[in-house]
Amino acid sequence: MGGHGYSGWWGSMGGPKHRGVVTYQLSPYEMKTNAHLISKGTHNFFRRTSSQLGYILPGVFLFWAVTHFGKKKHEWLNSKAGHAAQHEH
Amino acid sequence: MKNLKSHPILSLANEFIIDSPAPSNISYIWNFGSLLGVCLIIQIITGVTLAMHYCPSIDLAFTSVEHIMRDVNNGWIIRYMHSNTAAFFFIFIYLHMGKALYYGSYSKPRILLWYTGIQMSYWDLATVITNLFSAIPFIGTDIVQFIWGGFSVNNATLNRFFSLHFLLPFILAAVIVLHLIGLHQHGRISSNGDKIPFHPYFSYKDYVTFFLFFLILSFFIFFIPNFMGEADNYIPANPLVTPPSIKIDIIYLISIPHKLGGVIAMFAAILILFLLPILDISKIRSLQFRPFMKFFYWLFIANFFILMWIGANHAEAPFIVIGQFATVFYFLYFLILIPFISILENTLADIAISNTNSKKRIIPK
Repeated sequence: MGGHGYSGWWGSMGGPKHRGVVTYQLSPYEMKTNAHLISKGTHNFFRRTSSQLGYILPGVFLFWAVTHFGKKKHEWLNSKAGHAAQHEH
Repeated sequence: MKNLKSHPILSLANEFIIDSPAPSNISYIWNFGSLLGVCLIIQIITGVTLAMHYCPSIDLAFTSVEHIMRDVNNGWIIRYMHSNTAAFFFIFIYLHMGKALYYGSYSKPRILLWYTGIQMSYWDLATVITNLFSAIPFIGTDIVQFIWGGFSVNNATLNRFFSLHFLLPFILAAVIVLHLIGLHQHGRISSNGDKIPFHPYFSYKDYVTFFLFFLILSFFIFFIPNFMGEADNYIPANPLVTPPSIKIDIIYLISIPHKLGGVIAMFAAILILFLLPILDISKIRSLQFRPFMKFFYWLFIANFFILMWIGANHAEAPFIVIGQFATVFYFLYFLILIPFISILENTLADIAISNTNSKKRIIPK
């Protein structure tokens, strides 16, 4: 059997000791894979997403700013005004 | 099926995809590994079928592709499957690696798993590059003539690159086996130690994304098959003319004025991933619990998209300078940000722990 390393095989997982695990009872949600999907899920989705926005939005802004600047600059360099400005000196 | 646990080969299947203990808390982001496996299978089947009709010769290559598209039964669908799956292959590789970077999957004890993964991205990149047999600017005339097998792109070039393009996916398949051995040595990362068997929980979860992928892939194949392709592919190759846009990483060669430096930078960009397990000295593995590093991770992702956008543009001002800055940030992220933010966060965690401990001592219950 495999799993001789960091994580063990069944019966000797090697993790922290489990306590209070009920092993003989089926979960009441066993057949309800989408329990509370709408009632609680909607709010949780927005709560979890909004808590990550502060990390992700600066990157989104960086990408937008750089590509926007690049496109504008490239356009300008290929415009009549851009050509005139480049060949002034 | 008692054989499943004792048979020398069947027991491997049992260990890897049936009884394998998988963490109960891994999300759909963990599905990209199996999707990559599906992609490789599609690529090998369609690739071998295409090779039955394709002629790697300068006189026949272009017309044989048109023959596949027009005359071969369902040839068009085979070719479009091959080209579109190739694009998805890369998208999935980036997402799979992005997951490993975010969750710190590369750190001890899964360094072997990470290394085989990087090796595969090399083989995959090589497979795609062997498909771009057009005039690629390279280090020096001697080497480029050695690679071409002549003074320009010629019949020998087409033949050898096709030969390698056919061979490399099978090397890739061998490394996948190593990658799976590496994965099952230590299992997937779990934050709470709660494990459930791979089958049926994750086998069925993988099927969900398989079908979703087939749905999206079908949309591309049937409605916008050339969306991710290049118009240049429909012009017969001319060895004297470099196509106006070569997409892959050529920007590295051009943005760095010294061409050799550009080639070194391109290889270093992947080689630096080998150093990641050493450079990341954080005590906490996942970026979920590392706010500073998480912030810079998303900047790194933005920078990665900037590099891809640069690669799709022509080598002109201002894209060259933007590409140079983006390349510098790419390397700074690994060499400076990762080790120093690790030290910062380790120190803050130590201070917090010692504060909590000292408070406990002052106020005994």
